[in-house]
Amino acid sequence: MSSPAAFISELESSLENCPKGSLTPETRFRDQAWWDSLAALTALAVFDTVYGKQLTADQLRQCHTIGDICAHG
Amino acid sequence: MPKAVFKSVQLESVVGCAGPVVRRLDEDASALFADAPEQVARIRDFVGIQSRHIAPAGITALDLCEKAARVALGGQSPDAIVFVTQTPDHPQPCNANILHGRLGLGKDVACFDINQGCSGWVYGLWVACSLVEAGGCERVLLCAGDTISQIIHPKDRAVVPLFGDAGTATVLTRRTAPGNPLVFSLHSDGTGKDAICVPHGGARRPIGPDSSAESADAEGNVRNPCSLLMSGLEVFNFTLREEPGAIKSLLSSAGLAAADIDHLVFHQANKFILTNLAKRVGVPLDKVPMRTLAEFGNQSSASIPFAMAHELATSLAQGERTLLASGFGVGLSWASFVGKVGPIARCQTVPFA
Repeated sequence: MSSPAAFISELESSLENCPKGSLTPETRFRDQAWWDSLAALTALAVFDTVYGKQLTADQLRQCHTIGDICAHG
Repeated sequence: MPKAVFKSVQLESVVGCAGPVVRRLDEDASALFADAPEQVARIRDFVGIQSRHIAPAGITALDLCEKAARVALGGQSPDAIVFVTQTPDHPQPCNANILHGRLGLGKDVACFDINQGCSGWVYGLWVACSLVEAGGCERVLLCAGDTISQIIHPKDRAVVPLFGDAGTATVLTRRTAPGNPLVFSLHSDGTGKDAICVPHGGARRPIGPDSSAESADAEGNVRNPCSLLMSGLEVFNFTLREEPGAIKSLLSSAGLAAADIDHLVFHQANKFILTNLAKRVGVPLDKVPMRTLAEFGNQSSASIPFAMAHELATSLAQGERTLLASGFGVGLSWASFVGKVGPIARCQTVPFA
């Protein structure tokens, strides 16, 4: 099973405007300046790549932290 | 999952006609993203759209397709007109019949519309091939066009920068001798009907006093029940979930590998989706047209044939190419075909004016 570290690493490298090394499982991603609808699409794609399954739009809406996302992995 | 193989059909023409008004992304963005100018570059890089060609009020998909059809037919009369659109001139009669009258054709022509969106050209091609192989037709005119920009709320930031308008005309004829097959697969998931939807304006919810009521979603996108609603996250997940497997299965059915493909023509949805799909299917990006998306926007049912006419015209006019085309979207619906195509006698775009 992939770890949150793998998801965070892949997400940081996929988001151009997210400062590298800034994300932790506790990061409240919706409060970040880089979070928008395009970042949400990126998060879904990275989740699919890292965990080999899909995070639904409804599941993402219920998430507040990076750790919440990874808990679905 | 229907899979179909046609051996007696060839593409004679693929012609596209875009809406005559050009909207640059920075024009759209200055109105929509005044509070976040950095979004312009984000959209350009991520979505891959730099401009859109749209049809102003009064110009419809029928008008754009008529322009393309007159060139595509090359003076010949078809035995059938199949018109794929979700923005017809009227609920009744269908666009195909109106076009039949405009073209001044004889009465021995079958005419009907197909209500499908981004997968619609492939669906229409499947039906048109059936008409040639089993329906007694020698020549079929397949029109695919939409004016989605006209059903979008101007304050819906999620979709305004995306959609262009276009009409296309594809002419299929019967081969004199059976040739390499065109192999199709077609799919649906009606449980996803709400992911892309225009809620009012049909028999279920006729236009009424509440149809113009505006509301804003959590991201501040404003729309009313007569405008297009698209859930980008749902559509993205659907595409990644269904498309790669469907394409790999189709290739297997056709006895082909990803490396055999000369051109992989996706519905021109957005750069992020197409890049992800190409990677998962294992086809290099230089075989995946995306300039149509960049210059003209997402043209719904017209986007695949328009990309062929715009970006692949030289290649497809010169000789036989192994082409895989795949459309996906509203319905939910997705459909693909693969086979050798070309040389296409008339493969081009034409101006509206």
